[in-house]
Amino acid sequence: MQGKIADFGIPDIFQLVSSQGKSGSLAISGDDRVTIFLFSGGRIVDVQPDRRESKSLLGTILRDAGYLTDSELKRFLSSQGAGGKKIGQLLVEKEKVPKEILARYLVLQVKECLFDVLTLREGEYRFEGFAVRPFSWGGEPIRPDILLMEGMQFLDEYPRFREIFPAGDFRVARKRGERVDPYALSEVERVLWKALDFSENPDHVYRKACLTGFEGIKGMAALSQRGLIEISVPELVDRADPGRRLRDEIASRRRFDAIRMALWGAAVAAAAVWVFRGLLSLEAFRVFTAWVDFF
Amino acid sequence: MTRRVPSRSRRSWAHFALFLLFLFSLIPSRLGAAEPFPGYPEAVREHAVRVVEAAGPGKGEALEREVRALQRAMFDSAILSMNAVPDRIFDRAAREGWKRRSYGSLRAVARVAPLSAPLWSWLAWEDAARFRFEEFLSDVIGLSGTLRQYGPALLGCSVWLVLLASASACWFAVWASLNLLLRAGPALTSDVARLFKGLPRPEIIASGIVLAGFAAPVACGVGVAAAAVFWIALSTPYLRRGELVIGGMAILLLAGVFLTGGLLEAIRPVAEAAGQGGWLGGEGYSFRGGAATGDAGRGPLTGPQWERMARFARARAEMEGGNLRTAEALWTGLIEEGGDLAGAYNNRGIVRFRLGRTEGALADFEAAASLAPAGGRAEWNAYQIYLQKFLLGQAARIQPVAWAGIRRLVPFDYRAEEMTHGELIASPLRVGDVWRTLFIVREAWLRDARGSAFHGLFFRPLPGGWVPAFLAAWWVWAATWKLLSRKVWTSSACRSCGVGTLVLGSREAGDVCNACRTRVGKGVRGGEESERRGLGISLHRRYVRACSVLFPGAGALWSGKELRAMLYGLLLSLFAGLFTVSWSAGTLADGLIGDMQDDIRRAALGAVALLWLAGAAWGWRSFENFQLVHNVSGKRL
Repeated sequence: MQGKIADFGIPDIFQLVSSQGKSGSLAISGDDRVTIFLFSGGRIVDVQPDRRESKSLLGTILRDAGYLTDSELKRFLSSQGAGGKKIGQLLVEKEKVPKEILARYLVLQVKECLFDVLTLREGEYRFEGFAVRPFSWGGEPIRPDILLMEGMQFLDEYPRFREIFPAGDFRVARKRGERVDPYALSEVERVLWKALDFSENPDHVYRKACLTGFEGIKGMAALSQRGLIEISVPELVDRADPGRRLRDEIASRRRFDAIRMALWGAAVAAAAVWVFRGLLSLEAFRVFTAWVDFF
Repeated sequence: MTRRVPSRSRRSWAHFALFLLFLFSLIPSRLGAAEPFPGYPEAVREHAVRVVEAAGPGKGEALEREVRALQRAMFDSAILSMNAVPDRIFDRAAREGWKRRSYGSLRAVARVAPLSAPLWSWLAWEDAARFRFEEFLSDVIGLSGTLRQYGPALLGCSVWLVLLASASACWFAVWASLNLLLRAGPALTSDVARLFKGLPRPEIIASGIVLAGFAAPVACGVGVAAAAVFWIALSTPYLRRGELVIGGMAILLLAGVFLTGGLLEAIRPVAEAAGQGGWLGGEGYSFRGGAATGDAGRGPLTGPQWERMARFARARAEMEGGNLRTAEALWTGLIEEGGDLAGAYNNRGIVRFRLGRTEGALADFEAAASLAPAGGRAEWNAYQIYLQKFLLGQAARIQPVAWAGIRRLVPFDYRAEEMTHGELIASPLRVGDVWRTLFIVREAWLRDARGSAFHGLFFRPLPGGWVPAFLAAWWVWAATWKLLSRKVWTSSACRSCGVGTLVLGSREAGDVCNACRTRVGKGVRGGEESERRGLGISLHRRYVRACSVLFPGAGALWSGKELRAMLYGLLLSLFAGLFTVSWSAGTLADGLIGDMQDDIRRAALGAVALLWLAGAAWGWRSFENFQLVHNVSGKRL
């Protein structure tokens, strides 16, 4: 099943897959990115996001939420590359993140991605049916219809809340000396208030609170209206060139692969000589000429 | 004037030179001393030498005359075929430089060497090479007649086929094991890297270990078959069902090669009896001496059937050597024994005719004709006796049958219209009926296989007794992995993009990754992830292309065309096996066989080269299409 989003809306696609209890992958491309949802029996079991900043990747989410350090994330990613395991499975196996927490963040990741694709107005979708097995280390499969309702609501409200904050990057912090009765706040405001201890970066705060960007900005707007938080714009700092690091890594992998190919080439040449001696040597010839003795 | 005294020293030099000349004349030259036709009667030898001397380019008529004279002399001695004649002519042609123009001479002498399988094969090969269809068909018919009537030819060709099959099986095992190992290589490397995940850059260590696993048997000089089984076992956990079939086929073929070694060991004594001078080959080359029962009773030539054949061969040798009374006694003994009597009656009739006992000869021919009415020989011989006795009515009655009968005696080229009085046709020793007993699978093969040449060549350093267990162990290993794969997570490399994932259960379900299934190119994740995926795809493509060129058919395996790849591998191995067998015979044998095998070697080498190129192109193209289907081809990246 494939087509254009303009012809057949994303909510309709999700509802169709869900109502028919299909299993397989739904790839949605648009705005120069591709997001793949994996379905099992019409429920979402996993998502493979596509973000230029990798914000929606599970490892990045958990790092932003403080469950992993940068170096730990790199180590897990490298061991994932060698063994091919999913990072969530690795984290549960290594007991770095409890299974219940991971399940919550997997739901968060699915929500993020779903809300993200709902913003698309142009693009394509493609559904491929095949058997998908839910991960033993993951949470319960998610019903897309419930998420869709939440998503549509936030989609309507988001611009109104976002305009309260400065355009671009900004920082949030508790007002000094402000004391708050937690029971006076809503559930979302309460977890956000608690998470403000963790970071000034609103994205990290949302992550710590295990909220999507839409939920987070709505909660943050409520806290701002209560006058509990201060909003500031950070100064621009130079960053190290990530492109150069990537280029170095690619060059290194290419060098390694070339050396490996050369070594295999040498081994194959040695094997060719050995096969030649085994099947085309004088010793072999004597055996294979036995038939001539009959003539 | 002083009289000149002859120099003593000069005279002594002259005496010494004469002495040397005398000595040289005593030393037999290689050609002069070697008797070209040992064992045959003097008259036959002389005619045969004349035939060899008359052969040459443009000497058709003279050669025809000499061939006909030799055929008459052969009839006098009841000799049916002199296989040495074409051998000597070809030797001479090679020595004098007209080997390429010897076709006419060799075709002419086919009449006196109809039981020479090398001659018919050589003629057929030449006709095929020169697109002479009619002659080719006639030579093939001659060859098939030889195979039906002359035991050594049939046995030699059977052994040639067995050796060709063995060589092809070894090549297939090498092809399959290397292809499967390279197919499983990326996943195997990933799994080895999992063992070293605590170390920095475990993939480098894993690559080194996998490479060492490949190179170790080569470095240790292990036999081809033993190494192939080891490599297939290494790759087994990572193979799809179709690839496991290829591996299983290779193991089965190697088991066949092992047993074939036993067959060759068991049949070796037969080669001594069937070769030149042996009793089984007495119809083509003179059987010179030996025990009264030939070599029957040794090795597989055991049993009353073989002993009777040996006595038949002995009687034929006595008959050809002119010992008519001994021959008659031997034929009478064979007739009294019973069994297949037509040949014995016919040959005793010829002996009695030579002894001047025409009535007895006629009675024998009539008895032979009544026992085997379609035989042709006995009717012809009886027809000749009727003519001699002026029993023209009886002669006229059987003339059509007699004339037609000898025309049907392929590969013998008997022409009734030019045959003269007294040219009687003997019955040859027939081995065709019992040769199958040599190829019945028996326990002795397994016993002999343990010490056979094949075992030493292909299965070293395994002890002979371990080889069956070693081959059977692979099946256990494969079955164990099939069961373990339901519980143990193993690596799998996406066939399309090469990305590694861990899978559980069926390998078919996980050998193409989700990203490739959804055909998202390298755009599953943006930024660095996308670049990394692009790099992985590019390196994987380079790997598969290199495999396709070095090991043709590899690209097809990566594309999931296992069955077609196996058929291709079998075809390639067949020609590689033909190359091995023909090169070995071309190197170690001479004469007609060596020359023909040299030509076959060139043809086989050309076929292997063509198949190699075609396989490489096919594999390359298949993989490119496979990547295109999954949207990770070069154009889309």
